[in-house]
Amino acid sequence: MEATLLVLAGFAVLFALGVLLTKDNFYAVVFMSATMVLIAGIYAIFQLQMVSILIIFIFVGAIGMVTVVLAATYRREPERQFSPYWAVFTVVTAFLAAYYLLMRSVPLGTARGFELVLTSDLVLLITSMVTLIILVALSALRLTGGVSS
Amino acid sequence: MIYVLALVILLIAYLAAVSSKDLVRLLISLELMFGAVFLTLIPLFSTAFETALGIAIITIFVSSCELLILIAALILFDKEKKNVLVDSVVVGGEER
Repeated sequence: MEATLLVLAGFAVLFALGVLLTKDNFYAVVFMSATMVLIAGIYAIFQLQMVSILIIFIFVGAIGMVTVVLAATYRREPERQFSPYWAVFTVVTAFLAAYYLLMRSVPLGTARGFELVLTSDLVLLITSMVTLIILVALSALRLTGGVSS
Repeated sequence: MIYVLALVILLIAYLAAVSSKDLVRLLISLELMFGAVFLTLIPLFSTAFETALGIAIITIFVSSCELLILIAALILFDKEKKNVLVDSVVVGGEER
């Protein structure tokens, strides 16, 4: 499990770096979707398949695809979007924070042994969240002039 | 290790956000930030499974709603300014 986690984490960081370093927005979205799939994979390693499926369906299937369409629609001359000055600050912050977190020796939690039971509360929560997303989607459509009032 | 991974992805997303020259790249970096936030939820599952599951579901749906609104805002911005460049964004009252 530890080795798989390390491999997934390594690839997730590599794909996230791909988002940062690629010149074309279209490829940036593809790298972002791959990172989200790997994050969902990490959830699956910890036996949290439901959250993993939600992340893949919503962030890769829905939002990711819409962003792919946006990136393809608003395509322009590929240009390097990387600020080396900010990169120095970011690397220093990452190093200090990672050092602090690794020194704290936080126990690695696992959700192994838990069973997902679809209680009425959970069903209500999911239903209300689906309703919320439909309402927001309708509002967004109306804002952009997709539907007439 | 999960926290470190989340931190690294979050900082890469921050760097992508501050370096971005167009709003599509900014949107992509925001989605990456949400991915990092989801990672930090994993350790909570070992101590309070049901609470963590509730928080995860709410976070996933609410963040996707936020991204949906941002996409709508991006389309509106393009309608008004005829481009999606970050340089074209002005704050209230600022003249360009």
